[in-house]
Amino acid sequence: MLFNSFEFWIFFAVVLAGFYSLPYRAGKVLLLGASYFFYMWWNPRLILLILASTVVDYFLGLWLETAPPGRRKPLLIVSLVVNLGFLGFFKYYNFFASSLAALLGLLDDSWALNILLPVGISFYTFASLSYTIDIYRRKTTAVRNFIDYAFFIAFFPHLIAGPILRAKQFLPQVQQWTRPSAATVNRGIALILTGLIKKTVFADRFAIAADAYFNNPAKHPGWLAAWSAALAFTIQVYFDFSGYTDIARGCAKLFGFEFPINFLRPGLARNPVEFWQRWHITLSLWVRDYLFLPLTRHSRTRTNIYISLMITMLLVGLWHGARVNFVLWGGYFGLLMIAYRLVQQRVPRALQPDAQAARFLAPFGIALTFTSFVVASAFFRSQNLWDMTVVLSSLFDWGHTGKTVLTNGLLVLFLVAIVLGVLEERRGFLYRLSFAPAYVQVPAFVCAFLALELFSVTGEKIPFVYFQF
Amino acid sequence: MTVFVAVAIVVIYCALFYVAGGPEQSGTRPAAAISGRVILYNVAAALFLFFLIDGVVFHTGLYESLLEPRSHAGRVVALLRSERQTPLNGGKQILVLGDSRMGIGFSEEVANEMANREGITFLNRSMPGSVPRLWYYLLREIDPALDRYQAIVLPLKIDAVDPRSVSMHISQAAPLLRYGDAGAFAAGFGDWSSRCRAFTACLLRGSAYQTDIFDLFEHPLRRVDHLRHPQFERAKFDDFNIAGIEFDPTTKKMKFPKHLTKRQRKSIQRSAKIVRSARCSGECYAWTKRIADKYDASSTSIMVVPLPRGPLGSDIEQTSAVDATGESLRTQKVVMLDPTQFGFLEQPDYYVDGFHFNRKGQEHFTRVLTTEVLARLGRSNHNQAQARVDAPPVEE
Repeated sequence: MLFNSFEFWIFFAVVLAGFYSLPYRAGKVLLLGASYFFYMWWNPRLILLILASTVVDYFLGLWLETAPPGRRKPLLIVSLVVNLGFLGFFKYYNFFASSLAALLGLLDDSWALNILLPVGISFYTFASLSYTIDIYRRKTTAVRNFIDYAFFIAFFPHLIAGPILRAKQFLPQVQQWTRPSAATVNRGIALILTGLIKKTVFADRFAIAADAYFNNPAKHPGWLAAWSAALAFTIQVYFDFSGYTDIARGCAKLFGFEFPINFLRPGLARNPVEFWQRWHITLSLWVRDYLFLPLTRHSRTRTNIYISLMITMLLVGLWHGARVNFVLWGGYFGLLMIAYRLVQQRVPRALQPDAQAARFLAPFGIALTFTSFVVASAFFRSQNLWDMTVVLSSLFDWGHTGKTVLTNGLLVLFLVAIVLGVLEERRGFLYRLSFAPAYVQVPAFVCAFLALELFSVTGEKIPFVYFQF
Repeated sequence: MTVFVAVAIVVIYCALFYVAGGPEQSGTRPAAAISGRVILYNVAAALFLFFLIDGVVFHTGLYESLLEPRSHAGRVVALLRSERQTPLNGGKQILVLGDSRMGIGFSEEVANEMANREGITFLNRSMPGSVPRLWYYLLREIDPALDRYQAIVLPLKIDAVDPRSVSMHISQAAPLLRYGDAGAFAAGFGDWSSRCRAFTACLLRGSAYQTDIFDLFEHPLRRVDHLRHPQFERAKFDDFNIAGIEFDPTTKKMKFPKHLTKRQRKSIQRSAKIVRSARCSGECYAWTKRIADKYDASSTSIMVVPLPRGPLGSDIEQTSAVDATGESLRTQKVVMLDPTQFGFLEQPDYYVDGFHFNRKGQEHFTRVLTTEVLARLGRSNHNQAQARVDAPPVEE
């Protein structure tokens, strides 16, 4: 049941109507049941996994809160072992087994198991982990009501592909729910429409071009083919994931819940550090709080910071999937961030530009950061290491031009995306649209409906990229 | 090109420079609290306007004049136009409908040469990829009074509709659909997702033309050129044949001669698969039945042709499902043509791939079919005349 399918919207309308026709407590139970139903749509058996994780962390949370200091750490370790155990087994077992087998000179699948990857396991595991860790750190209190906790883990808009929720942000909303204001509903509708347009009009169109190249990169030699395909995938993955987040946030708003922002136009970041402050923000903050900061707590030397940064980014890469490509993708961004920090520290203060000069130089920084993001597609989208090397070598094969995979229409869409991104960044027009008078809002809604009707890709079912994580 | 790139770089630089200024402080405050009622009115007004725009642009024929004439939908629109402009031939026209197999397999010229003496005209209006559902809606538009044709010849389709081609089927039928068709049209599709899309296409026809609209957006000049010179590609066939295929009916293994292309090989394998699993799909049967029922009270004969089963048809055992389907369609009105008449055509010599006849196959198929149709019509006319003679005199 994808967000861009008819089935989902029928499901959503029924659940929304049911939720508001019941008192809040009953409505919450209905929402929880609907969320489990939503999850079971993919594979009913996998619900056991999410239930197990929920039950374990609920009780561990209660014990952690009241346990004497000496027993708190073991309880946290149990939570980590259970959650990371599930994640590790279902997502990474085959990866490590085949890597080890290869090292020992055995066949890749010698120890492989036929394991089905549970949808969204990386997202709900991180949400669940943040809860027990925060209780351990006494940053939040354990929730008494099991339904509230289960709802926090399983609420369907964020269940499959985030944003990664934190208990201390979300649980108070569940406990002190208030009916959403009209402005919130309006904003929710606008977000859903924006998300659908991002996914079906932009992401899916670029997906067709990117797939044509990345499904067999060796068939499309030349730098132009490689760069155009990498650009197509970059645009696809941004619109796909941020579109999903917009829909998730919009749906949550209609139920009266607030999800954190996950994207802030990362294509306009001026450097790799800023890029990660704008791209998949909830994951960046999660790894910062639970991985990077603990790693650097004991030693703030530059070397330790760089090593911690690299470890964090490698794990961010691995979080995306059990493939060497993803690890390299994380490592690539780690290197970029370290390089940026090194350059920043080495430039003497006298040579650092003032505010005016910085503004003139900013476009170059944005272009460079965006270009490095485009290159990252070679790691992220390639299906295996061989394809990755083919794409990387094609990107810098200046002697062979090749053919672009971007059609005129896609180039126009790209320009439209730039214009909209720039206006949103500077003027926040999408946000302000929610408060605009009817003579602005009605035509805007009509344009959105027409864009969805006429320009979306409905013939092919293209799944969300981040569903696989 | 260099100038274009330079201009693009300057424009992008200016845009990014503009962005680098940081978010602008808005001079306007968000409007005062919006009420739920206002939101409802806004959304309702937007939906009303949206439906209105779609209706004006897509249901009045405005956009149909811009449709790519070589697309499936464009061909249907062109056919509608040409049929409406074609004068009636005193009820002596025989309409042949079908998909590309019929389009390529039946030669209007050969048939008309044969039927010339009797003053009958054959019109082959087959559409590649079309299914009985499309023929039903097409007939509704071109023959509203049910008296335009002496007979309508339809092939009995045995292959199920490929779910991957749902978009094509919807866009092909879109120019023929009305708001009221939403339920019946959607119900004819196999899964819920396709049904929803079909339903939407009836209410919001623009959604059926997504591919066409994006193509227009990408290549506006090419579209203008195609609209100015709408050269329809006639169904192509040549003297090529696929003789030399070896097929073992027990092991189901095929051995292809070297000169066959990958596409031909795939198509032959697919055709053998369809024959093996032969069953008339429910969708095709239901719509053929609807056509027959529609013409039940008219003077138009409906003739259903079980097409030859492909180049390997004679080698493959087939269930009796197709015969049974054919029988169930047979009524006093529907003439089911004898499949054995075409049995000799189930040889590789007559095919260009797994489905389509070559020139030789076309010639033979057309001659047999025309002879059969004319003979049946003659018999039917004779029976009608006989019925008039045998009828008891009306008392005055």
